[in-house]
Amino acid sequence: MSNRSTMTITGNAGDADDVLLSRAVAGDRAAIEEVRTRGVAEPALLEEFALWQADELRLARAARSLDVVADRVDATRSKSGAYGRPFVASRAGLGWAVAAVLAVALVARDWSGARNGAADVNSNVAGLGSAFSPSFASSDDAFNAYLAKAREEGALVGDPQPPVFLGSRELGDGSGFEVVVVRQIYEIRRTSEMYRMQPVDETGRVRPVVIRPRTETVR
Amino acid sequence: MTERNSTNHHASLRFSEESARGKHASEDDVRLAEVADLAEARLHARAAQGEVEAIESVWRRNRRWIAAVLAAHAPRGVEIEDLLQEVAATFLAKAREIRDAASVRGWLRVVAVNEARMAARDRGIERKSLARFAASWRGESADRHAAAEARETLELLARLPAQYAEPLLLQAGQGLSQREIAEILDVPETTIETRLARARRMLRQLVAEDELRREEARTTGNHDVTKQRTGTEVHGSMMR
Repeated sequence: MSNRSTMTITGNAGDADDVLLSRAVAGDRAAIEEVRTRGVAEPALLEEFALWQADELRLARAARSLDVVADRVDATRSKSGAYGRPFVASRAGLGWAVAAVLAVALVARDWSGARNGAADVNSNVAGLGSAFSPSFASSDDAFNAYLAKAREEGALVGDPQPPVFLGSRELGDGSGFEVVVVRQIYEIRRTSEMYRMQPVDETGRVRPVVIRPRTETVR
Repeated sequence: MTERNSTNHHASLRFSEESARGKHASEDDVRLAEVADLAEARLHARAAQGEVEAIESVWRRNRRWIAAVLAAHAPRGVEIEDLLQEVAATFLAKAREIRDAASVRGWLRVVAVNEARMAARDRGIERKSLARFAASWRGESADRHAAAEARETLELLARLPAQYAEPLLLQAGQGLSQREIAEILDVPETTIETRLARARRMLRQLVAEDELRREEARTTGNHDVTKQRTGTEVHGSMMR
């Protein structure tokens, strides 16, 4: 280690001091010792060292946020085309407008599916009743199970946002309050087409119309 | 194949020896490091044979620093997590082709930088992913102050040129040694040392300017002052 600190530094004294400080904040003991020794006569160097150490701590803390992202990606569950997929409703990109359109698309798909194959839908639902009967202690448990499954499938983007408070009413029996909140969940779904529900006549009937919204073009 | 690459066969061993050799490293420390290297070499050998569990294990050991590399190079409009998925998928597909365990890190870094560059080329945009990530980062911890500070730090880092931000993130964020970074980036260790020193100097100046503007904003009550910094990048004599 000591040979690194005595290495000849080319350039001006400022560069040499920067290299020394850089080594010191990275934990090179010889460099730390040199800073301490020189600091007796050059208190400014010690002050600079303290500031660089503070920056180093900031960097380490900031890097944890990248670690959180990295820890979500496993090789065996990775998806090529993640940033090049045909349609992405990202948290910070397309936003709620596209998310709403996507919701319409899903509704439209269900609507057309029900119209074209109501029997299939019904049989599927009936099948669920007999073959799949999950038991949850509460709706919150069911919700959490859904989140876990969606995260596992890669359908959940980030973590759910805190509920948005809409309003409250006092309960007449004095037992407390009824609070209305909205839970926001950002999901990624893939669809070959997108639709808008368009009114057909004055009776309020609607039909799905294929649209091509202006979205980000990705590979 | 560069001269550096030809020495990569024993790179992994050197990494651990370097760590173990610190001031008070004992022979036991060095022996432990050698055992760890042997275990790692065996793990890579299993990964090269296509053993999924080993591939996953190798990936998990490396994914954090790969995220740091992507953060330093990726363009605006691309999620770091998405690019990381691409790198992971490539690794999963090609792990069997990597015969030299010691070169895995260099290989992964090249894949990561290529992914970032392809994303930038496709979109014709500059490197700003770190700034975007910083802006979107809400902190997955309950500590709002810590999350805000992390966001500010990442925003400052995004203003450094990639060649400086990358080694700084790898060392200060991931704890890699200069030698490890030099191996991964395939450049001389002295170059890494210089880049690290300059990166830290640049960051110090940015932090100092940021604090000064905040102080001015506090004293004058003009909060727009703090926004002026967002348009500036690090230029001039600092970028040598």
